[in-house]
Amino acid sequence: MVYICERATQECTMSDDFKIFIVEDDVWYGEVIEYHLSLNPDVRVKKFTNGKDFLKSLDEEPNLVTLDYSLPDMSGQEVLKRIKEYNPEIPVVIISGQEDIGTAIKLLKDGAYDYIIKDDETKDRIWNVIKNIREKEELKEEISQLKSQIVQKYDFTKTIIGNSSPMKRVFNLLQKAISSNITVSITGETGTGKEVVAKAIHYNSPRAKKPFVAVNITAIPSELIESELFGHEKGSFTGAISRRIGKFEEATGGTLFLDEIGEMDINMQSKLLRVLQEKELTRVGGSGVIKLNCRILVATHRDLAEEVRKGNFREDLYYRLLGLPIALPALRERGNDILLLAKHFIDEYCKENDLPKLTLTTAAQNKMLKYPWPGNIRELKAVIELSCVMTDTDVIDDDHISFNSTGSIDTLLQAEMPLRDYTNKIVRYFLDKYNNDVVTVAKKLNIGKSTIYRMLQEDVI
Amino acid sequence: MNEEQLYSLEQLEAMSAGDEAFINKMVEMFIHMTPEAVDRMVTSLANDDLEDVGAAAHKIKPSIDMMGITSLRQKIRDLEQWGKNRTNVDQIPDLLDDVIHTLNDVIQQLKAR
Repeated sequence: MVYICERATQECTMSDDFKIFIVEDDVWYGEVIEYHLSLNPDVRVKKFTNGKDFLKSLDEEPNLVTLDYSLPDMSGQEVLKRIKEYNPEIPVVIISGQEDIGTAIKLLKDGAYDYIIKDDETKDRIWNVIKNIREKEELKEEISQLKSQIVQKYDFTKTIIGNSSPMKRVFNLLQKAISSNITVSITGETGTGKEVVAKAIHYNSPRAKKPFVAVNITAIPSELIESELFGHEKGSFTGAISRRIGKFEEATGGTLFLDEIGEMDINMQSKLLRVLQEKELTRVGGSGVIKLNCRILVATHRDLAEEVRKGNFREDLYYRLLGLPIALPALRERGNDILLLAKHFIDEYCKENDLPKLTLTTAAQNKMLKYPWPGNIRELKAVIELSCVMTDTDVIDDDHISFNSTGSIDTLLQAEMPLRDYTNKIVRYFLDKYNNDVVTVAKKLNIGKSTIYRMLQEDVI
Repeated sequence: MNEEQLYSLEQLEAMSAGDEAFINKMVEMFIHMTPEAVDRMVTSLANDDLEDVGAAAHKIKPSIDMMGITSLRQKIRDLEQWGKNRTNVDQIPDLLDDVIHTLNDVIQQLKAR
């Protein structure tokens, strides 16, 4: 399996000394700064009086460079450019005798970290810069660690479980989705793991380091969806009290996941289509054009082709979003995957709750394999967690497994009970519904009251 | 020679918490580099290169401030600006003389410290 796994390759610089290179042709000033900075025991300072010598030592990877703007052999501008070419991550603080705002702005635009004027407060300013840079480095380190954790979390060889042939097909498609930039449309019943798949695609793609932005179309009122997706300018409509960037912009360089795309209203569909065609957007109430730079993943539990036939979904948008279609199989079509997943959820639950390992009895396994799982993996997880709670031993038996399905007739039929049991269940259902009002139930079901009384006496319902 | 102490090491002392080694190093550096700057200013003035007079003044300005030579605080700035902008050209020679005179006195005082 080829997946891109990002590891934290960043060296631990924090425990090492903080290396500062002072490039300063004024020996007096260089001496003062060096002395001042060296007061901190973990700071190591190296001084250079010209640009050439300094550039030769760049490979020592300083954590900070303070650069005198006017050097004898080359301009500060030139030195800054060369540093940034070598490694744009090295922070460079320009120190200048002149207060020239124009030059300062130009240098900051060219990537200088800060611009400090030579005066009595210079050394304190440099201290502040060092403090900020160190804090920033710590945060960067933390972020990169967290990111690699996320990547590992979404390593789909571990998060997407299954050996069944429909799942092998899915894995095959996932590989293709990861190695290209194509729009992916994910379909599947509720609870089949559409969002998990979307995240797996993002976090295993070259875009993994950039944001993954998920939008559930059904969760946003239709009148707000446009500004949610495209952003808006201050005052563009009542309540738009400040400028806001949209989800498309938020996902710049990364992936935008539009969940439940089938629920998008038809007006919004045409706006979305236009944006996808033009590959650019304007914020609501704005005039500036923003280039689109995000990958699109969409998901729906509906059959979009069917929605197109019914006229609920624009055909042109359908084809634009179809891209690489990945249809997630329902859990009941996945055979033994049910047991693999069940085991996974049991282990996960036990680990989270510090419990000894639990195993499923054969009876429990058979019960689960027979069940149609209308709520798919989401339901399986809930059922498993409940069964882990219900058992008092280290095994989960069929008694511990109860399905709280929302009760479709299919589910009921799947139980393959004798007709008499079905009858009992139906009568019980109606009694519950009508507050044990035998007369009403008898009428509804068109059976005699005595039949119901007899069933109650026999205690079968 | 002027009897009054023309410099003050207070800033260097405050900054280094009285670190003698550092203070001595800076004093020596001042004694060493100032005559070079003075020579440069004299030569440049003779060549009517007033910009370079200003540039040299600019360069020794921080050391003059830090050595606490308050009598030169404004003068070295005037010299820097006048040279750079070629203003008050007729007053520059006298001003430079004045500055050099004070600097020489400071160096004598520092050596005798």
